[in-house]
Amino acid sequence: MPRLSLFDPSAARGGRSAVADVAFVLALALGATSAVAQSPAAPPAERTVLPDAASVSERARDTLDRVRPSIVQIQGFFGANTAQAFHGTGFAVARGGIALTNFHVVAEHVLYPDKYRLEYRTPGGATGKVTVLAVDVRHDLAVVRTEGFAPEPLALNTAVPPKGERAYSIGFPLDVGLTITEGVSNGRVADAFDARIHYSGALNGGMSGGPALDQRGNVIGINVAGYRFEQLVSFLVPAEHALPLLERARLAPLSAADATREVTAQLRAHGRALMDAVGGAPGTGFPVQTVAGYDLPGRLAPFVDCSASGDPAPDQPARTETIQCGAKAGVYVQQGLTTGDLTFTHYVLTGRTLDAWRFARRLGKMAEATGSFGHRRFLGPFACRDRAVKLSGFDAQLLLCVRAHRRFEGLYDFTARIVSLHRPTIGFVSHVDLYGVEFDGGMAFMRRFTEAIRWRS
Amino acid sequence: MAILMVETLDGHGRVVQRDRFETESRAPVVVGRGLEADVVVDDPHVAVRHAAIALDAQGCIKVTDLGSLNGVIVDGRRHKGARDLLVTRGTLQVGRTRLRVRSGAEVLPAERPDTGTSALAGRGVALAALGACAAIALYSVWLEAPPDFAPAAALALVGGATVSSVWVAAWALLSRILGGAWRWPAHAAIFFGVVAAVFVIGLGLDLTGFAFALPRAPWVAWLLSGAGVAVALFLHIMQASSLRRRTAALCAILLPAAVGGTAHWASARSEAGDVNHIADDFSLYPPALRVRAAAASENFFSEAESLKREADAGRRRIEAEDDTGQ
Repeated sequence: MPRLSLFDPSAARGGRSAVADVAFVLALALGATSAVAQSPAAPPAERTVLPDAASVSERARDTLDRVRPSIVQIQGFFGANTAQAFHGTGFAVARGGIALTNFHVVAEHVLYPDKYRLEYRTPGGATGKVTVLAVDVRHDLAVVRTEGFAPEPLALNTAVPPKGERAYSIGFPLDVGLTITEGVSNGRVADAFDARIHYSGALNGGMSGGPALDQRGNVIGINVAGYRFEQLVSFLVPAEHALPLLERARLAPLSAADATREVTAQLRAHGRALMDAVGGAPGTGFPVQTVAGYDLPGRLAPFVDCSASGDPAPDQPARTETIQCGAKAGVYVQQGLTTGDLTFTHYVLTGRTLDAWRFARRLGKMAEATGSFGHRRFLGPFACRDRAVKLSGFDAQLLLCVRAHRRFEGLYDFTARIVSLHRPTIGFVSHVDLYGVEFDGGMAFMRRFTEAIRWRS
Repeated sequence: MAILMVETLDGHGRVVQRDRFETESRAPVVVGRGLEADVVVDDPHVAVRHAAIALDAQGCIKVTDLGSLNGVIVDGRRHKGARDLLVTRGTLQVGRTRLRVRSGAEVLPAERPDTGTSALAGRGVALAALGACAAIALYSVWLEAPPDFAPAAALALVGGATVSSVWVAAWALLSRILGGAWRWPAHAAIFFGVVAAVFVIGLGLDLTGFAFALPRAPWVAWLLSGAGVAVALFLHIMQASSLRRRTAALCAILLPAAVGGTAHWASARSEAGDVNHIADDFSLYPPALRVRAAAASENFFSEAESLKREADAGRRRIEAEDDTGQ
């Protein structure tokens, strides 16, 4: 499954990101070309045929010229440093220096206002202070005020352009200066937990928070994320989500003292929305799929992606079928913390040549946790319960663990392992991971999930 | 008649020369390098006539320096020109040679019982224990169901043999140094026997826990391993040295307790500070071995409500640790 990544504002200079890796490869290629050109022994270079100036997209140039005065680079600085810690893009949307950007561009400042400060820099080089007025964590938006900079605002187009309509994205990729990329809007992403516009054009680190425009120069969305290792699969936050946020910024601007409480409340609301969406209607069962005689929870909601794979190798003593599901609902809160998400994986094991003794051993190994998935900076340790429990038609070993978030009071991570203790050479292991939800909702979901599993003899 | 025996000891405390004197007149025994001495010591730091050892009327051992350059050392202190110096604990040193002086009045400790270790002397026990360990190694490989059993089994056997050889050889060497005998079969029997016993007991406990759905207790594995090491150490020490049973037991308990306790403490502390740590020991066995019925899921989830309190307490604990810079 391709990995979706936000354009982490710090990635532009971190040197560790895939974006930085690509930049490094390009630099190498330029160096090699230069060396060949300077070598006296090299054969004469073929004459380069440049495209006719008229064939260059004039509309892109016009669009950039028109919106350029309204675009700023938003820079974050740690403490009194003059070297930036991260940067993104913002654009004016209302008079009086009111601009839009992504929440993840300003998140460090919102959560640690004593440690990080924000400034803007216009393409012309003017700088000034940035104040955050409102944040929408779930939709990854923030309204800010750029002090001393009040250009003509860009107009918002809240109608999502249809598939195939030309679109442009503007920002400061990798801190190389104001840039416009040309692409195509592919409409709303189907079956997504959070509304996104699929933009088939280039988005790179540093363009986060920049405007995506239709052919008339109206803002259709805000640059937010893309797949790093795919080709031009990028995402925009639809412009419609900016309207309530602008209203909130006008009526009740965010104060630094309340910022963490506000972010916490929004994360809890996001968690509740996720639980409501995947929990199913009361009194109804979970959508399940039957594998090797077991009913296992599957695509709990339209936005939950599931993929199934098997191990066809005939020399293996047991056959493993894997069903992997993810809600892709995670909210980027700050570097190292993405939360408000659900993933689960079922491993169904069928013994071919294994006896019950060795089958049990192999099943137990599959239940062991793999990898680490959280930082002490944000989370407390797990508290666990482990017991053999009676489920529908069979017994299972159930391990359930919970840990509390440190900064966001009332948010918890859940992780569970459900292992069948039933048939001698047929069994399954389910790993369920639920991140950043309220305790009661998370516990209710875990119970419904567990009790939805049944043996169909 | 008075009996006096002077034993010359080597650097390891073993007797290399024993001179016995029976005298009516309690005449002193002369120690020196010269041939005219009663006890001839081949040590360049000893005078030709170095010291005289005698029993007084009460039967106490006294030493007199006969004008030597280096004097006599008693109780760690050097005495030059000493006369009728009481030899405490029956040992003294002339030059660089230690002497143990014994008299007929000496009170000997009771005879030590010689039980428990004689059975280890033969090869039968060692071979049986070795066979048990080989079977355990093969079982462990078989349990993992490797694609190709034979090479995996061979590697496990060779690897296990290498490690165990080093351990057994070290103890045999110690036996040779301290006791003059290698005692290969005894040390092999101790090592393989204890390893097999610990494995079998561990498996039994694990199976019992699975069958009766008992709560998992990681400290049981630590305790079992520590007890195994302690028993092995005790038996090895008894074979390799002449330490008293109580002293050997003390060493055998204290050493693994200190090492294992420290390791367990460090491991538990590291796990307590790791926010991703989950004690997920899924030692599963065939479902047919289960005896106790599983709990109802509603009971499990109602009990799990307390996880909120525990998770909050864990968060507060590491917050306090981070605040105090631990």
